[in-house]
Amino acid sequence: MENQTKLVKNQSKTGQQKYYVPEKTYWPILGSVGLFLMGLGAAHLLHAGSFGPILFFTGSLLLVAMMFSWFRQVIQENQAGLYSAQMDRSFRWGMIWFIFSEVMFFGVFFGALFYAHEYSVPQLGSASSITREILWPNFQAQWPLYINPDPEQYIGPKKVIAAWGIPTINTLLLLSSAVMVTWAHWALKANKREQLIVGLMLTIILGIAFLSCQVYEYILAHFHYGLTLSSGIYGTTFFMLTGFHAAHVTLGLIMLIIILIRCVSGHFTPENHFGFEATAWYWHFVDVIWLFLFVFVYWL
Amino acid sequence: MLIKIIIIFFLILIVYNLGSGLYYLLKDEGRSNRTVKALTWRIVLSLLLFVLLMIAFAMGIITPHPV
Repeated sequence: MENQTKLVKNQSKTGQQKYYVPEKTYWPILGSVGLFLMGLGAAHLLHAGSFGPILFFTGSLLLVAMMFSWFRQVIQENQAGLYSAQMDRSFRWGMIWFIFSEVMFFGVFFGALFYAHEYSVPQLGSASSITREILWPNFQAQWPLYINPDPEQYIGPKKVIAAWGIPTINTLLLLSSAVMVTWAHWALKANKREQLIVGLMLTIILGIAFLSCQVYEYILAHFHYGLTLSSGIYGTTFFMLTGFHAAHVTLGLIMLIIILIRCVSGHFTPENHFGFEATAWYWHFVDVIWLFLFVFVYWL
Repeated sequence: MLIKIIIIFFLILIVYNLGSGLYYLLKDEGRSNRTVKALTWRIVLSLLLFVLLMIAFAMGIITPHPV
């Protein structure tokens, strides 16, 4: 069944578009309560409070429930033909702002990695460092930093993840996944529904394979190599960058699965498919970040 | 040094294509092929970069940091 969304449907006799304003809902307040509980829970967690995990988990559940319900309502409104061309533009601009914040977010963590790798560690290890002279005279600068300035307080990693191995496989997995989503994208443009669905399925399968390898890599790093968030600056930057990347891959996979369900349900036309476009672009974005990780975290 | 410049150049091209894909997503509103073309270029360049990295590694031009 093909559901056509007619964007020009909401036009009055004077040619003006009707901009759909929905009924009042409690999604926003639900999201706020969820976020509040998450924040409260996280703070408790960090201060070793017993309520921390429960609050955080409850808050996350509420937030996820809100997002699921709200987005479902948006899809239903869209399929009912309530959205005008201006609404489509609103969604695209909303995406731009979201992506801008995402770019800034990763920029911060790459910036921290760059600063530590190129400035802090070499500077501390240099002969002219008075800090080193007074506090840590035995400090040797290297990257990865295996021996921290205070190695008794912060035990460095025994080993780090080699670039040639799981990370190389992961790069291949994500690249293939992006090839599949591009193949699916062309299929949607050419109105080939079956190719679109197969392409999306393969995209998702390869993405799940990537996440599985990452889980395995994390277990290896955390339990066998002594590489953790608190094993020094190398471990910190490694897990912050790869961790948040994996979270974004997870988010991208959820989006892809929803889009797949929508494609199977007959949503989207070759001319009208913002949901697909946005998700496909986001998947490319996640892949590009991985390329940067591959080069700057695993190789350099 | 040259290899580093080539890698950075590829990364810049890749980000440029990703960016132009986003731009066309905003501007063309699904009515043209420019978004999917930009994203196709993005993945092609990424695959080329990966092959370049593997060749450079195989030839010993670049070595990953020690483990």
